[in-house]
Amino acid sequence: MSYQLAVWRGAIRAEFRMQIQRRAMWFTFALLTIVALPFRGGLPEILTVAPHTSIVAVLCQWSVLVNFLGMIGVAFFMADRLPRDHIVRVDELFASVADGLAARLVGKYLGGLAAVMVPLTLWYGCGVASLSLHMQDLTVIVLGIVTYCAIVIPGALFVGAFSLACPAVLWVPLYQFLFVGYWLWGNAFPPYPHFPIITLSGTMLTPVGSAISVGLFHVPAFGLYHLSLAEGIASLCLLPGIAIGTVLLLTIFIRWQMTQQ
Amino acid sequence: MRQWAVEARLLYWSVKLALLLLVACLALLIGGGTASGIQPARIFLAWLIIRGLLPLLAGILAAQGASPELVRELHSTMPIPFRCVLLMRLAIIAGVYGISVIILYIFARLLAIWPLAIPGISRPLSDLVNIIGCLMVLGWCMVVGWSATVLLRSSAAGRVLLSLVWFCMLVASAIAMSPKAWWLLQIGLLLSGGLGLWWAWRSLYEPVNDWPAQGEWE
Repeated sequence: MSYQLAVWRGAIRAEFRMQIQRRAMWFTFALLTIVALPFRGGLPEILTVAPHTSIVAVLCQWSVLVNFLGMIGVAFFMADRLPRDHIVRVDELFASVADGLAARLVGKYLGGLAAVMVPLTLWYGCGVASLSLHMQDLTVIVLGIVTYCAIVIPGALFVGAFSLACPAVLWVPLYQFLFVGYWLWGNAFPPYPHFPIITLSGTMLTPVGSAISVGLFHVPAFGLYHLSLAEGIASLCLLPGIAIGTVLLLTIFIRWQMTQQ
Repeated sequence: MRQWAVEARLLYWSVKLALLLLVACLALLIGGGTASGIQPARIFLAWLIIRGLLPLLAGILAAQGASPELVRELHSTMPIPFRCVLLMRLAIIAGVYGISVIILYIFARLLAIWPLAIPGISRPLSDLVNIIGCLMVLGWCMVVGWSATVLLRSSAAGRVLLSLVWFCMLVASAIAMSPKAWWLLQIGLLLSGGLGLWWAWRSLYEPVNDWPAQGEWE
């Protein structure tokens, strides 16, 4: 057990350091921050509307926007982690020396995701801090932490898990193309009757956080206006649950792949 | 000529993907049925595929073609400069995906599911201008993906930026319905794409010792 724990901690540390040192990641998130400014729910807009509307609504809008744009970065920077092991030939080394495959994969997932969440959290935090200063109200920060935990974290866990697992069976550029298509189709389009194409958008499986925003906080997002509290809670539980299941399936798949070699 | 063949072979999956996507899109557009309720969805799908999805995929693959390589130093010892090799890859992907866009456009017109006609321009010329517009979007996405990857020394970063500007471009394309806005958008794409290409091309003349950046093997 202590060996597994050591592998897990080592993998988290190594992945975190490797990811956090990617200058391109920091630069990309800096550009994302700038590009997000004119969007609906962007910083200038929330600062303008904040005095006339509820803080929770403003924070939900901000969380959903950060999720919508930031998760593309999370997905793309997580997608190359597993293929990288193969390219630099360390997967064979891991297979020959270590018995902690599950611990290593979970460590890789948590370490890589934690690192890529640092710039995203800073971006989110900047918005919340600006809002708090603008409103001269410290409760904004507390509510900001609540919306971050309820909307941003479940989405990140879901997207991170799929971005780590899918490149095990898909070519990375293909996965990234499919991800962008899915992200637009399954999150940004309004729910089906309001739009000519059937979509996952507005269901409990929307990692952008619109279902949680409507269900838990009653704040409309991406054309979704009505959802019950139970459905909001179900979405909040489903997204991390599916993430855990995906990492578990990835472990089983890679173990099976190793036995086939 | 030999180098072209080598690069084409290296881009085997990109070419195969284009063909698969072309067949899938054609099947979707032709086999979608003609019931009046389905027609708006087919028109939207045709527009999304030709002006959105194909350019995005081509851009992602262009970024992949320019991604940092383990054999970068070996490339720099070859008689053909690495920047020319990168341009060759860009040209191959542009050729394959450009043909796919033209084929899909022709089918969309034959099936009467292409939504845009340019007001004030007669039919054959309007089609030509539309095709040029679609090819311009394709070229722009490819140049953005390629240039961002070269400039940031990371194909993941290049693709994130491409996805983001692609989304903005898609929204702008959907909004720019008047002839003036349409032409402004095309000029904007041309200028921004040209600037990106020139900037990335210039950066390829820089020394190779910081290229690729650490941790960016993809």
